[in-house]
Amino acid sequence: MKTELLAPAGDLERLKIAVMYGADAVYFGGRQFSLRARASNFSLEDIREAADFAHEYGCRAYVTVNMIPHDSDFIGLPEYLKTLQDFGIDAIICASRAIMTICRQAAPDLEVHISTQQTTTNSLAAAYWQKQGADRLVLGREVDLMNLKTIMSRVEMPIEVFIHGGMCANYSGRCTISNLLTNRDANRGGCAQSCRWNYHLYHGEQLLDRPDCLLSLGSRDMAAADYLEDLLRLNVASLKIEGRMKTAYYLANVIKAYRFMIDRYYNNGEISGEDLACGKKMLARVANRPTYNGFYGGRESGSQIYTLPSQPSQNYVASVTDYRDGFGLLETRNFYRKGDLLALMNPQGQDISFRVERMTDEDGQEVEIANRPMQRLWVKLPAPADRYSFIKMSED
Amino acid sequence: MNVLVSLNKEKSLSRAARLAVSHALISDGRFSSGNSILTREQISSFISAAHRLDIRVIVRVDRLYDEDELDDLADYLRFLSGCQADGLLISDLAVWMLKEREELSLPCIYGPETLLTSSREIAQLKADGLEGCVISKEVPFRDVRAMAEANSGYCWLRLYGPSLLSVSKRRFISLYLEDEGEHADDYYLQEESRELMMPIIEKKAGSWLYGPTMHGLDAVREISVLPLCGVIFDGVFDRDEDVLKALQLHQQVLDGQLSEKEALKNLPDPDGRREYLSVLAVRDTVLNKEEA
Repeated sequence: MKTELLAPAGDLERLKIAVMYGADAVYFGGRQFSLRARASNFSLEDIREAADFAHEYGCRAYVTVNMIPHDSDFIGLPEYLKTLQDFGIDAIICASRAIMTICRQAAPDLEVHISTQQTTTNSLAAAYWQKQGADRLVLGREVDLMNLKTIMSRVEMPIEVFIHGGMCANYSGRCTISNLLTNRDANRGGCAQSCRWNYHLYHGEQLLDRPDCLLSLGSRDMAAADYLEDLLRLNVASLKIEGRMKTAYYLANVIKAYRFMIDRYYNNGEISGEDLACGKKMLARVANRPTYNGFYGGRESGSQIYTLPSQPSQNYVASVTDYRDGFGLLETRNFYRKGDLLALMNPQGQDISFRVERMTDEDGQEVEIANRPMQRLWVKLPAPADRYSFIKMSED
Repeated sequence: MNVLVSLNKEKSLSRAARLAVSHALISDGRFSSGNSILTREQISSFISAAHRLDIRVIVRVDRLYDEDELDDLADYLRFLSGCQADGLLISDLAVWMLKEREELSLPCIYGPETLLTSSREIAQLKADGLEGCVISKEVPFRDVRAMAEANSGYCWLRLYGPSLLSVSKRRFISLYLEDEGEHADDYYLQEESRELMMPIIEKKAGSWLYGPTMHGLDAVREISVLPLCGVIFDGVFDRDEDVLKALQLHQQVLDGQLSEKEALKNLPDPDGRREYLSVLAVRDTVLNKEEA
């Protein structure tokens, strides 16, 4: 069985992008029972459409039901799970033993994947979930490669691990800093990311602040392409990309990069240095925080950020909303002008560079510059495009 | 109702017995959170001394464990079983699986701090065979009552002690200071726009961040009639005398010897920075910034 590439989706548009750019499976949350309250999240009608769309392209669809529930949170849950089953959803991702049991009773055809919120970091804890009948286990992000190898040799159930995206400062599911400092519940979708705030450090009465920065618990993001081949050789069931809050453009790039490297591995038996460099270059385009390999290489090496600021990417120029007779209707995201060298990114194939020769607005008036967000302009493109295509700055 | 109190010193046992402590909670340096360090020899001696006073001993085996620690963990559990420990306070289900596999008579109280927030969750773990559960500390008291009543005689409630906010595998202080020193005692974080001092303990295995110290002085009467298995007074890094003093104050309020207000004034403040929060003051949380 090939390892699955599992991608997040914050809404239906991003789900379609994830499918088109090569995810084998997608995960997303409904409006109830899920973490990431600030993601757009899916209505029931959206969930039905998402399942249909994913299945049409041979992609599996998982719904996160991963809050740590309080007593009042169970209202309507059995009916909701039954609805997910009726829609053809393949699995739920849950972090609660009680929700797992309710799912087994109300919707027995749904697979149950145990969320990383349960912080499973060893084979014995994994055996607990196997004993209870879970179908898959998402390991804690703190497991290093050596320990993962041992876990894989001792556990029979399918194992899912993270390959890319944001990292919690603390063990996921074991943090309530946000609850205390903001009254927003970290384990019910309200995490305020208080770990990324600045803190003074004291020893007794002595202030230990560094001159260059205060202490932040926030971590760099994971970008573990260096370990991709190892993980594929271990035959983990699934490689998960984090980021239900991320943009469509971010997802398209990240999924395309991992799809490219995974396909190279299965076609050639390895990921060559050249392919790895190419994949990492694609990932670097959309990195908006400093990245590292997570815990795969051992504990905490280079994990913290401190003085390194976030870097919003200016690489994304426009999305394509329509295509007719060689011209694309572009919706502007970042400044560009006539004469600029841009690139067309489609779900399949390599990026195609082109120079902007002519730009017109929707009334046919010639325009020299695109400098308003969401401005819609017709631009001649070097190849056919569709609504899953993006325009970015050329790297040529 | 059982009363479980964290203790570090054998000599504290006689006072604990006088205060009707039924269970002592002890820790080692490697497999426990907190920063007390009892050697194996001290643990063995402590358990014998406690049993002579009819106090049972629960050992804190409450970290999350890496795969390459499991063999040593198994050896440690065999040691604890051999010296007649009465149970374990755990945070990783691996410990329960391990003692089951090894057929050790070590009942486990599961206290992952954040995951046990509903009556159904606890009922399910009880059905799975876990011998006890600690209700998560971020649950409003209304829900605490419901959870206790739905699982009569099974739940433990943290009634006193610093509330654990987060656990990380990262050693935040060492990373920040770029050193490899010991940072277990008397370290605090203070968010730059707030006054609250949050104790942080860093050990080889990671970092534990704590918030305000919980107390139940204004709820003791109500709690005393709940069908709990027991209450926990866990000082984590506090001296035994401070934890026992807090216990005594709660008992005095319950017996009507002291008003809540007076007892609150007398709660220990060992580091001069203690901020207390009543278990009744835990609020319902919200999901959105606007509601917060």
